[in-house]
Amino acid sequence: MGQGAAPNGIRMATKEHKEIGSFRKVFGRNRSAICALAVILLLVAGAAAASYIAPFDPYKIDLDAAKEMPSLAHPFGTDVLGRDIMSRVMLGGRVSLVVGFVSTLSAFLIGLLFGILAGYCGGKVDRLVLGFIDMTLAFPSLLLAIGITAVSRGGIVTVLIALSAVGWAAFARIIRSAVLSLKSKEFVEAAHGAGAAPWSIVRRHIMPNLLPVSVVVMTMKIGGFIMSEASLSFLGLGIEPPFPSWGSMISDGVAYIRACPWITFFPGLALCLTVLSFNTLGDALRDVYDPKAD
Amino acid sequence: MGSYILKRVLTAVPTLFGIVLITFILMKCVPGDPVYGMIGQHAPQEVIERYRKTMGLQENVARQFVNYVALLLRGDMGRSYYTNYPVGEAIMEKFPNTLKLACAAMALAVCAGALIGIAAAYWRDSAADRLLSWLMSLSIAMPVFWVGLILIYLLAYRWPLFPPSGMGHGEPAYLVLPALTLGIRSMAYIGRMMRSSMIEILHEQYILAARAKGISAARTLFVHALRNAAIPVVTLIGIDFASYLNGAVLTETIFGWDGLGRFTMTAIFRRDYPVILGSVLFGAFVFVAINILTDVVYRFFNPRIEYK
Repeated sequence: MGQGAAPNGIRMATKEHKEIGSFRKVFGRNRSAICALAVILLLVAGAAAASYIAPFDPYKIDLDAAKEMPSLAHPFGTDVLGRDIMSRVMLGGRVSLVVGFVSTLSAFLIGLLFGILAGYCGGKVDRLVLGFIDMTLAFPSLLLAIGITAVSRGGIVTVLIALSAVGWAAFARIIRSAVLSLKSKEFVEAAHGAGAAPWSIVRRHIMPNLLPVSVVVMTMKIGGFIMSEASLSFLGLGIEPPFPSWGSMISDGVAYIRACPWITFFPGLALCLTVLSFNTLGDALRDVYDPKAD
Repeated sequence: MGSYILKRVLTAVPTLFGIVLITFILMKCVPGDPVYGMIGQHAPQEVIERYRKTMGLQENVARQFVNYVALLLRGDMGRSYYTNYPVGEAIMEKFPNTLKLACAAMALAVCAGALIGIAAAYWRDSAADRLLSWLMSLSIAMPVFWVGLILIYLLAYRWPLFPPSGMGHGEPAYLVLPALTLGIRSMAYIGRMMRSSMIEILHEQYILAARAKGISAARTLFVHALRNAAIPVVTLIGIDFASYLNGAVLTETIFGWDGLGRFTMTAIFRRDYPVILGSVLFGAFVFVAINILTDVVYRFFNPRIEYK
């Protein structure tokens, strides 16, 4: 890695010669980061294998076993319809993680496009994109997401659109400033001087160097996206029942909070653990790659 | 200072215009005909036509946008499909309740957050510091609605100390749980920020000088250091306060708090579009206004920053 041909045949560095960092650097002495990574791997594995390892059928309604307290048979108890909460939490993890990951990725891609456009082109384009970013950030984010889901038909696609439409601006702003600082680096100026076309500079010299900052910001933000999805589902605007999502499972328990708090407690605990792990991992990555930013 | 404020307000104008445009586009995305929404599908054709005319819907989209802006400039945000009550007036009626909750939550967050941050900075790298910083990470990761429900279970049902929901007749007891729920995240953010800025300040020469002069640790901490350490926290308070003011949708829904957030949610469940969009618009305006106010206060506290 690190070598690429400029159009005129001169071979030059495509990367800043900065240590891109290693696994050891992030996790070497950071015990909480190791724990966070372990929890995330466990959650991903649990969600992926939910249909095989879940102790009960998460959709199976058994009114004789409704609202049972946590026990050996049902470690997280059962809900109002007698469905096993642990199995549903595992399956709900699938929705939360997939929606969280896909919405973060799509918001990031939109942000990447606009960030590069603004940072690399500069001038009028930059001012226009910045204005657009400011406008999006001026909306209270949850309220805008609620507004978008409320005027559409609902469902998983709407949630993805709403979360990307709200979340792209923060990514765009970070990418823009990263591009600005890369643009003034010698290797980019050298490529420019050697006659490389703008698109080729962006593709060969800028994009590869955006990788570390991209990984860091996406890891830091994914927790927020998962939380937003849960909030929308909690309000009944997100993933539709009977498909379990942690947010909608928590709202299932609202009416029974007094007598059966476990219906609410366990999905929330899973959500809390997930967000905490991603945030911790994000902080650890940031400390290694970009110690000055906060 | 005056010219700075003026300039800051003027630069917000394009943003506000964009917000109105986005809201307008959202409104145009609403499925179905707004006339049907108002008077039902089975109204006679001529009544539908008459409504369409009075609402200006037969004109082209650009013209409709101009009309919409003109209405907004007069403070008219339309009427609710359900109650036929003007949206602007309804928002103004709910706003005091939201303001009350926001102030209580913020007061709690600032006091607790500042104390936690100062303690963590003073005993930094100790076990207590690590515990506090873990607790703050946890507070940030907890979903607001979940915290609210758990608090209701613990402090209203298990140990009935506070009423579980509603507003009573304005007794402070009703305010405790919602304010706690709403404030806990800000508390964590403020605590973190306070800790890092306090640690920085405690390394300064003037703190050492104060201690050497024989001023007590507590006095140095709370009088000399706090004043400077608090500056970056101001921005944080501004951002969170703005988001509280546009209606803490989740918290107000859970606690049955009769504020803007719950008002918006009710409208969403009824598909009452003028109310939804009015609330979103109002929220965005408050957001922009508080941001300007925060910048002004920030510069007031920190005169070293140049007025650009």
